[in-house]
Amino acid sequence: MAEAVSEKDRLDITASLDGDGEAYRQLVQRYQGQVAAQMWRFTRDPVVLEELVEDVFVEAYFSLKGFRGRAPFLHWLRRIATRVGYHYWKSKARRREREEPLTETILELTVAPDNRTSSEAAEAVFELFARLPASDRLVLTLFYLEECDTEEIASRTGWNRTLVKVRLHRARKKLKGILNDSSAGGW
Amino acid sequence: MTDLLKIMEALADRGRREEPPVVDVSSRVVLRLRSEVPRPAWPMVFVASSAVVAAAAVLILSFPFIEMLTDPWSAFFVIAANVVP
Repeated sequence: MAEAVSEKDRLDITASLDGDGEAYRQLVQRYQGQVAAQMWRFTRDPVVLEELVEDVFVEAYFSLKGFRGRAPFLHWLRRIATRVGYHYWKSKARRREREEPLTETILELTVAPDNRTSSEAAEAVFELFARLPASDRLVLTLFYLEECDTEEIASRTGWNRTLVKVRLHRARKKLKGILNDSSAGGW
Repeated sequence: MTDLLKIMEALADRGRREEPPVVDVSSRVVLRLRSEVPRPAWPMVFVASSAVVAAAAVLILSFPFIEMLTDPWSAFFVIAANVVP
């Protein structure tokens, strides 16, 4: 394992692979805060958030043998977290198509950002991006909320950089369209 | 339009500062893994002792054949005596 991985992580990963549950618990406790912050971009429901964080660590455990240690453990976890969140959005979109039509949420961007709390601001952006398909939503979320550049987005999603650039461009265009429509609608 | 995008970017800036809810899923993850990780169908001690018993049985059953190799004539007569009525 390369030096990119801290000694603590390296020991816990090795022990976890040998079936030591306590070592894996240590890893979860060390990183669950950062993973939760990332998964909070994928849901605004605290119950779903817990489920998603749990899914990330369960999936990470089953992929642990494939962890080569070329990058810090958190980077590797973030890629899994992105995949879990993206699948969650896609399955949610499929369920919504089957069960209920998308209800129009009222966007109130007219209230100046400075007058909003950070939670209200995050909620407004979340609602806005939720109107887009999952792939557009993902690329915009990573770009605007996670502050990833195209290289980092490519690394987290597994898409190549050209595809990321194309998707980002298209997603922004769609976003402008939504903002335009909502603006014409009189909000 | 540009203004709306700028407002959205400003909102995203502010939204990034939001503190996510605190979660502790470590116990749940470990519990779930205990139930999901496949265990060996047979305990290793049982498998090992069964293998020893099986090897001993094969050895005992193969004694006549070993004897046939070391002393073929006596083995032949013993078998013949058992076969011929």
